[in-house]
This record gives sequence, C-alpha cells and structure tokens, in this order.
Amino acid sequence: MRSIRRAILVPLIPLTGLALGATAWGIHEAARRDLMAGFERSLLAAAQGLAAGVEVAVDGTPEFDPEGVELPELGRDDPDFFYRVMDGAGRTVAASKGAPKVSGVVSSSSPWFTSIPHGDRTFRAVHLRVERAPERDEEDVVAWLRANPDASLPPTESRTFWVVVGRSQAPVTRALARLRRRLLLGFTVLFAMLVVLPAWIVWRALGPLADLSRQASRIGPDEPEARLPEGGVAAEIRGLVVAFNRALDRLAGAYERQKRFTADAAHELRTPLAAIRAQCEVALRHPRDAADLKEALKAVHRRVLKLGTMVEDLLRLTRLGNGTGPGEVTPVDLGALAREVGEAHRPSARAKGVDLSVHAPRKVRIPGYAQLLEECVSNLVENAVRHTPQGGRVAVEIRAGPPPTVVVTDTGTGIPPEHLPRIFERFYRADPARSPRAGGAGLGLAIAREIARLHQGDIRVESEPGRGSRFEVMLPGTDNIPRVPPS
Amino acid sequence: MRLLIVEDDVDLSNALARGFREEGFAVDQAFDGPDALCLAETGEHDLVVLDLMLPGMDGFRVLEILRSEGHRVPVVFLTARGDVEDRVRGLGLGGDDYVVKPFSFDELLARVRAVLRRAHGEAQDVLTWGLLRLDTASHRVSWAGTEVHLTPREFQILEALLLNRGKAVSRTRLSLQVYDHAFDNESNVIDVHVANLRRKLRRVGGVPVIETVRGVGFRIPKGPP
Repeated sequence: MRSIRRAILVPLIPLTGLALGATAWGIHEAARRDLMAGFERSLLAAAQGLAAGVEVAVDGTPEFDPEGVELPELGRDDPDFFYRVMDGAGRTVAASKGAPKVSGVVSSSSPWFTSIPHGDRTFRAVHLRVERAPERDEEDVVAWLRANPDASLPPTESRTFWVVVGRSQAPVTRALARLRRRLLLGFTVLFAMLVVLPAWIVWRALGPLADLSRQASRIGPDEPEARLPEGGVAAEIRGLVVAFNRALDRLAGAYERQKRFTADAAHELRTPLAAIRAQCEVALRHPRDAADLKEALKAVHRRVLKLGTMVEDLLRLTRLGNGTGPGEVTPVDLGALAREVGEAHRPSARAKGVDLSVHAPRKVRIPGYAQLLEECVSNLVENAVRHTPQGGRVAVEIRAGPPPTVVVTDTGTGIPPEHLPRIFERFYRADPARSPRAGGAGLGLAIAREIARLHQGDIRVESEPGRGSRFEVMLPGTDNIPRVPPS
Repeated sequence: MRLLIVEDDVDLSNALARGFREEGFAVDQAFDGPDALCLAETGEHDLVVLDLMLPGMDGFRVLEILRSEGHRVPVVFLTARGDVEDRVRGLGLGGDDYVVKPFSFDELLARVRAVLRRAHGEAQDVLTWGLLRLDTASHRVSWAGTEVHLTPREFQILEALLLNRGKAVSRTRLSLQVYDHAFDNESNVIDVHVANLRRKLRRVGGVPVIETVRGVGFRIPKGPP
C-alpha cells in the first residue's frame, strides 16, 4: 500500500545518511590534513635541526656532528624515530641505529615527504637537501695543510647531502582513529535523531488525517447530518474534508428524497388499502341488504382500480428509470402528437371553462417512443388544466429547437418557489391537499420527467404563484439504442 | 360516546364513521387539519381518531396545538408510515394509542374502547354498579344475571351515566353521546330514553338507579343504596 509516511521518510533516510556521511568525511579529512601538516612541520624542523650538524671537512670529507642539535629523540634509541644523512651519491654519512634504508636522491630542492613502512611501523619521513661547501676556516685550513704538506687544497665547490628524518605515523593514526570513533558515535546519534524527528513530525502532521478517518468511519447510516469538522484543519487536508462533506451532503439529499419517497409511497398505498379493508370489514360486521352490499362493493372496486393504476405507474417509473421504453423507437411528429393530446383534453378543459390551444407551426420529428411521448405531454396538459381556474388558458407549443421542445404554459395557480425543486419527485404534491379528490397520486410529473430523460432530454419549470406555470420539455430524441427484448 | 374521526380519505373516513355508529358511538368527521382542530376544540368529544398526514395541517400539529391548549381528549392516531419515528413522536406529543394503516376495524375499535376505559379509570370492558353489569364490548346489560334488553341509545345513555357515577350529566351532553347532531336543550328526546331506561331497570331490579337533577340532567349515585 502506498503511504505518505513512507513517501516522505524513505527518500529522507538515505539523503540524511549521505549528508551526514559527507560531513563526517569532511571533518575527518580536514583533521587528517591538519594533523599531518603539523606532524610534517615538526619533521621538517627536526630535519633542519639535524641538517645544521652536517659539515664538510677541509679535504672534502663529509662529517656529521649532532652535538648541539636539540632533538629529544637523539639521546635515546627511540624506535619511533630515525635519521639518515647521505651524500649526493647515496652513501650514508651517518644514521641512527636501526634506521631503514632510504633512497635519498630526489630531484627536488624543496623538502620531500614520503611514507616508509619499516618493521611493524610506518614512518613518515622528510628528505631535506642540504648544500655544504668544505670548511675554509683559516685555522682548519692551516691545520690541514700542516697535516698534508704535499697535497694541494681541494676545490671548494659545495657538495649535496640528504638529510632524511622519519617519525612513526602512529600518533597521527591513533588520533585519527579516535576522531573516527567519536565521529561515528556522534553522527550515528545525529542520524537517529534526524530519522526519528522527521518521522515524528510527519506522524504529527498526519495525525489529523487519522483523526478524520476515524471520525468518518464512525458516521453511521442513521446520521445523515453528520459531517467532518472543516475548521481547525490543515489547508492541505481541508480540500479533501470539504469535498467529503459535499459528497455527504449529496448522499444526505438522496437519502432524504428516498426517505420521503418511502413515507409518501407508504401513505399513498396504505391509505387506499386501509379504506378498502375498513369498507369490507364494516360491511361484513352486520347483515346487510343487497343494495347496501352493492354500494360497498362499488366503492371497494373504485379504490382497487385506482390502487392498481398507481401500482402500474410505480412499476412503469421503475422501468423507465432503467432506460427502457415499450414498443419500437419510431420517428414521432411532435406537432401531430400535441394536437392529439389537445383533442383528448379538450372536453375536460371545456367543462372547466379553460381555453386549451395547440400551436405547432412546423413539422418536428424526433426518434422516440410515441406512446410515452404522448403520455408525457398528456400528463403536463392534464396537470395544467387541473390547476387552472375557470376563464384561464392552457397553451401547448412545439418548438423546432434544437433541441425540439414542447412548452406547456398555463395561467393557473402557479407553484410556490419552495416546492419547485421537488415537484418532479414521486408522490410529491405542491398542493398540500393530499386528497384523492385533487387528482392523481402525484406520479404524473415524475413519469413525464422520466420519459423526457429516456429521450435524452429533461423538463424545466418556471412558475409564479397566482400567474401560472410554464413547463418546457426538451426532447433531443433517444439515441436509437435497440431495445432489449422483453424477457 | 362521541368520537371525532379525522381522516382525509373520504372512503376510509365514511367506513370508519359507519362502523363506529353501528357500535353505538356518535361520530363527527373532519377531513383536514384546521377543521379537525376546530371541532376538537369544542371539547364535545370523548375521543379523537386522528390521521397524521392531513391537508392544511398535519396530525402532529393538530395534536400539539390541542395539548398546548389544555385539551386532554384521548387521541388514537392512524399512521401510514410504519417507522418507529412517527409512532414515538405521536405518543410523545400526547397521543394515547395508534394503529398502522391498513388496520383491522376490530383492532381500532378495541383500541378506542381500551383508551376510553383508561380515560375513565376503568380496568375492564365491564362497568358495574351493585348488581348492574354493563359490558361495553358485547353491548350486554344485566341485573343480577338477568339480561336487560336496551336499545343502542338507551345503552349509550346508561354507559355515559355509569362512567360519570356521582356526577350530574346534562341533557345536552347525553344527546351528544347518542346523536351525531346535538338536539336542542328544550327537546325531550333524552327524557324519553331515560324514562324507558328507568322502566326497564325497575322491572328487573326494583331499585331506582337514575336520579333526576333538577335544571341540569341526570345522575347515577356514586354507590348503590
């Protein structure tokens, strides 16, 4: 599973390790150079001290006299120290005891450092080039001439010597090892902190998310009002919370509609059943004459028929919702259809004193289910006539569009704005008189809308209480999907 | 006993009215909320059968207003929604009992009787006064085991007087219990029924049961002599 924690921490750990490692290495390297430089400086100083002891006699014999050279190691046979003085040809002039062999000749005039392994030690050594001319001290020259009367004074050109001084590197190595141990310990602790701290920070930052998901998972089916708190939430999470709450709003709306539908359906179905049952039971309680029983039977029959129609309408609504219509899809002329519907409703309109007119100037044909389209328009016209008082007008108009539209306007009672969003819900009646005398069961508009939707369209309504209503049915037509054969 | 039936479905309302009338109740009908409230506020009814889903004003509101105005008339409500919510709400607002549509008429009748009995502080369907027994469910009256045959009107009057033992019941009140429409106070129909009732009871018991309270109406004393 993908995890934000992992996404943050997994790259962070190697990066931190790398940065810390580089820093430690840098510190170590700087320290090593520093130590080595000091070590070499002192080596060079020792070599220069020893170099002062190199002399060339009057006859050119090299001599080494360390008297007066201040080096503590000279006094004792220090195994961590050696020196070797060589002439230009590599012959040893003088050497400390056990000094390693070194090749002194280096073509460099500046001090030259080398590492020399010797025995179990590694020495760091400096090769220092020294130029010396033979003594020409008057006293010494006289002494020499007296001792060698036949010889002539050798030439005074200077000779080259190499003074090599080495010290065991062990102190430096030990110091570096100690530094490495400290660095390792210190940086391990630092690394641990740099891993744990971000982990803790991430954990803290994601804490609200865990809280929210806990709260969300606690929202039960009987709490349509429950929402996640939007205040006090980090900006990054807030968007998600708001979106989640909007989704809950929509679900609560659907839940509320479903609940209303169930309650309304219960009322619409149970009340006629209660009436039928009460009529039967009351009629059967006492002996009655035939005329009386006939009346009761007629009343029951009337109610059963109405109930049957309602059940049929409900079933049809369900089927329409599934996207299937009855029969074949054919080109339907909306104008002809509107005129037919108008003729069908003219008697009832005339009886009520309502003027019913149909205006269909052009032929408008759409692919559709003729029977359903007729029912859709019929429901709207019936609704309009029912809610229009005497002397009012109901008009049906066909517009070519696009999309092809059926407009039904009336000068009736209108629909209060608070009812408008719900009038297409099943069983919903804007008219609070939920009485069977007022007409159908409140399914007509719901069916009309489902039919419009089956034809890729919809219904729009505008209304002004006291002035009338205007229903517009947009009917682009079905997309001609072959009908699933009835099973 | 006078009932107010509040139900917007005319068929159902009429069937119930007929059923209750045949059981000897006087019945008024209301078909919407405001009418129901108006009629119930007269205080003439012993019980209201109240549908919850009504035009104009729903049953809950009617019940709420009645109770807030101090009317304590027993209410049996009818609900089409099976959910607990409505039943609990109806009972919480002061409804005494309910039936869920579609209900059996017998059950509604039994519940109405039970609520009426409770309202009058009776434990069972049978009202007794000394040797006199009146069974409200089977509509039988007997004196020391001997059956007394009464007309429905006489039965209603006797029942009303027995339920209000020790208290004077006016002629108007009695006529409201017996007839769908109250008779004028001057009319003597109630006196005729009471006279017949007295005669029938005297024949089996020989004890005067119903007293006349001058200028008011009639009374059955608290206890038998």
